[in-house]
Amino acid sequence: MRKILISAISSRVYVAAIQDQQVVFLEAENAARTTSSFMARHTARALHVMGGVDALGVLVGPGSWTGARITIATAKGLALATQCPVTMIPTHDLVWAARGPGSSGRVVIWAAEREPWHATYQNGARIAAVEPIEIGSWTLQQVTEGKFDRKTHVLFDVGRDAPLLEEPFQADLMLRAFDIATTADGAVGADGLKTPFMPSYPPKQ
Amino acid sequence: MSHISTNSQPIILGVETACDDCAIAIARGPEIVTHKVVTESLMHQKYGGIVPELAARQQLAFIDRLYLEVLEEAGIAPDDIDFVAVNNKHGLIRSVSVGVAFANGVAAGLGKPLISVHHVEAHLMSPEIGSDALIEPSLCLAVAGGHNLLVDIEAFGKYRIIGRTVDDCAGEAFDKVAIELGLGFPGGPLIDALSKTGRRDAFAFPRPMIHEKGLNFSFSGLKTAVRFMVQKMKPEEVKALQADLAASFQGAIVDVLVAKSRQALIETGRKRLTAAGGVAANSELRDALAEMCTDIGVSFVPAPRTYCGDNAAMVAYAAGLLLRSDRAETGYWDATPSAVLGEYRERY
Repeated sequence: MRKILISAISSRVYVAAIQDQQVVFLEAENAARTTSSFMARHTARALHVMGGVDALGVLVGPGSWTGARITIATAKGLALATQCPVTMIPTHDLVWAARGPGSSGRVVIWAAEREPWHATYQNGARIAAVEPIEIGSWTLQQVTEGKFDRKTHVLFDVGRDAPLLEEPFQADLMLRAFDIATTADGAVGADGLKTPFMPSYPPKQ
Repeated sequence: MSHISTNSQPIILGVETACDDCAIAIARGPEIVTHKVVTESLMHQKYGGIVPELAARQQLAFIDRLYLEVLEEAGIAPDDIDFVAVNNKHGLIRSVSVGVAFANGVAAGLGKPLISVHHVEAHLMSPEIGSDALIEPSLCLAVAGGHNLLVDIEAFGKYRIIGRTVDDCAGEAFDKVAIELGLGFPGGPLIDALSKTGRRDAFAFPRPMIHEKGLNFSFSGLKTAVRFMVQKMKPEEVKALQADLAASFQGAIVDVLVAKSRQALIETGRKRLTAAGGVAANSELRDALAEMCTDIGVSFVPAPRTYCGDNAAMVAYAAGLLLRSDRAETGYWDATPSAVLGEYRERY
C-alpha cells in the first residue's frame, strides 16, 4: 500500500511518502508563501519514487485556513489525476493519535473564536464524526474552565496551542491519525473533499 | 523552473481563478475546444461586491466538478493532456492560490508540465484566440474590474504600459454605480442593458482627465458624482430615471475610454486597436471604439464577448503562445499576484 500524506495546517508544510507502512521520505519546510509549490514538488517526487499512489491522506484542520485551502485544492487535483481515494484527517485525530493507542476521551478544538468542534474516542478509535459545539454566549475562558472536564477532555485551542503542531512532524503519528480517520469516516473522491472547519462568514459574534 | 518549447499542436488544460470566477478550458494548439466559467454573482450581490474569502471558498467547491465537465465535453482523457497552464501572476491572492494549488495537483498527478501564465497577458492576447499567426504590433485597451490599461504591444511578450487608472478601474465603477442604482451585481451587463433605453445626455456627469495630456484614467470621481446625484433624488425619482442615470454614467465612461484610446493610437502610431477585459464586452464601448477606429483609419479587433470576462480559454491560448515563442516557464507554482508583465518587467 502506497500512501502520500500532506499537511499545511500549521506554518510548516509536510509531505510524507509511505510504502507498506515504512516511511520512504518525509519533507517539511516553513514554507509560508511557497506552500503550494513545495507540496506539489514533493508529491510529484513521491509518485515518482513509489511508482504511483493507492491512498492520499490530507490534514484538513482546524488550523491555518489558507494552508487547509491549499492542501485541499492540491488534493483535489491529485485525486482527479491519480483516481486515488482521499482520507480527510481532522486535526482532532492527530492530537488524539499523540495520546497513544487504546485511550478514550474527547478532543475540542477551536476553529475560530466562537466555533469549537469536538470528537469522541473510545479505545483509540473515533466513534462519531467531528461535530460543532453550540457554546451560545459562553466565552472561550468559561468553556475551558467550566463546560468541559479536563480529566476526560483534551482542550486544544488552535490559536493558543498551534505551536504543538510545529513540533517535528512524525510520520507514524500521521499514519495513526490516517487510520483513525479512515476507520471513522472512510475515504472520499475529489468531489467529497471539503473544508469542513472553515469558520463562518461573516464571523460569529 | 525550466523552459521548454514544442512545435506540435499540444492539448493544454487552462485554469483561471483570478477573482470571483472559476474557469477551466481545453485548447488544442490555438483552437479552444471547450471552456467553462462558474461565477457566484448572487452570493457577492448580498455584500455589494466581491468578498475574496467567499470567492475562494466557492472556487474550491466548484473546481473539481468543472474540470470533469470540461474534460467530458471536450472528449479528452486526462492522459491526453500535454500541458497544464494556470494564472499564478495576477488577481486576489486567496482566489489565485486555489487555482494554482489545483493545477499543481493535476500536473503532479498526471506527470505533465505546468506552465505559468500572467492573467493580464492572457487578457491582452484574448482578441487573438483562434489565430496561430504572429501577434501584430497593436495598442490594447484592457479594461476590467481589476485592471484598466492602455498597452502598447510591440510583439508577444513585449509590452509597454502607457496608460493606467490612478484610482478605480472602469469595471469597478460599473459595479458600484449599479449598486447605487439598485440594479444588482455584477454591474457591467446590467448597466449596458438598461442604458439602451436611457438618454446618455440626461445627466451631465464628468469625463475625468479627458482633456489631460497623459493617457491615465480616473473613475472614482465619476462614481462619486453618480452617488451625489442619486442622494439628491427621491427613491421614486431614481427608479423612474434609472435608465437615464445608467446611460449617462456609461456614456461618460465610454467617452473617456474612447478619447484616451484615440490619443494613444495617435501618439504610438499603431494601426491596430484591440480591446480586452470584462468592460470590453460593453456594447456602447465596442460600437464607439469601432467608429473611432474607422474615423482615423485603424483596424479594430475586440476580444470575442465570450472571452472578455475572466476565462481559462485565454490562459490556455496564452500558454500555447508561450510554448511557440519559447517563453514557457514550467514548474510547480505559488500565487504571486503582483508579478511583472512581459519582457519590460513592468509590474502590474
